Amino acid sequence: MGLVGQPVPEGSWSFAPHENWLLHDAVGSTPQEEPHPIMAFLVAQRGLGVSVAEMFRSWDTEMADGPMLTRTTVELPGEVRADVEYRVRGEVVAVERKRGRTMGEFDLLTARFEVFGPEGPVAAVTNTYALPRREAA
Amino acid sequence: MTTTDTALGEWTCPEVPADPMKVLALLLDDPNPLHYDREAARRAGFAERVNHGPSSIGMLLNIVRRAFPEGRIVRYDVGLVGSVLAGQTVRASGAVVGRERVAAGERLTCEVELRVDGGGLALRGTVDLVVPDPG
Repeated sequence: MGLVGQPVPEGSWSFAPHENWLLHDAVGSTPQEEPHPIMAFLVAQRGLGVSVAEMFRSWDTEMADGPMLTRTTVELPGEVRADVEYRVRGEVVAVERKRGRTMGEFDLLTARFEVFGPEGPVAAVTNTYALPRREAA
Repeated sequence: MTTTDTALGEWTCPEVPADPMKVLALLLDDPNPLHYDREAARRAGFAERVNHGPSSIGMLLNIVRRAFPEGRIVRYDVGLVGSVLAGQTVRASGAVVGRERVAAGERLTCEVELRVDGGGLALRGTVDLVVPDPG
């Protein structure tokens, strides 16, 4: 498929201690200094050089189309920490055309995002999204 | 789910709150109104606002973190198969299904799932963590 190999613009992000607190609290975890393991997912998403909406648009999908996350695999060779700048790069690694009863035609698009801290890789996030596709006329 | 070498018990959120979804929308920079606008959710066919997938995954991970507070999660692989809505009760459960000696201690593999009362399975996956040896 045409999108495989397409990079997602690289960017960077750091989160503040209060954002770590808020994330713990939002997912039903007692806030603590050690980041919640789902924070790596946030870093991978926020550290891109484009917004979520722009990323989906580059895959021919508007937010109004209803893209959905269907699977995530997060590998954590390191740890993310507050107030550390993380660089993120991403790439589309697979696209598979599907058809479902409720969604109609859609693509299962898999993208891999790699998160690098000052001393090297700390996380890799591989997400699969269902992207609705309009029926051909 | 494979049965059980060591069951992790159950982690429950009796009523998924709507307000943290607004926080998550900001933290994730997610503009999708299904997560913070009840009317938008209803127009899309949902009875209530839809919890973010990463938030539900975070809740699922809590059961492993509670069972092994000294452990470090090194990998998780989660499939999202159903929606979690504001106001619903969700229950995470799981079991240790694999153990392996590693240099830093013991690597455990857990099968986990998150279910919605009256709504069935929302998430299912595996979580790997390393638990350091005592002392």
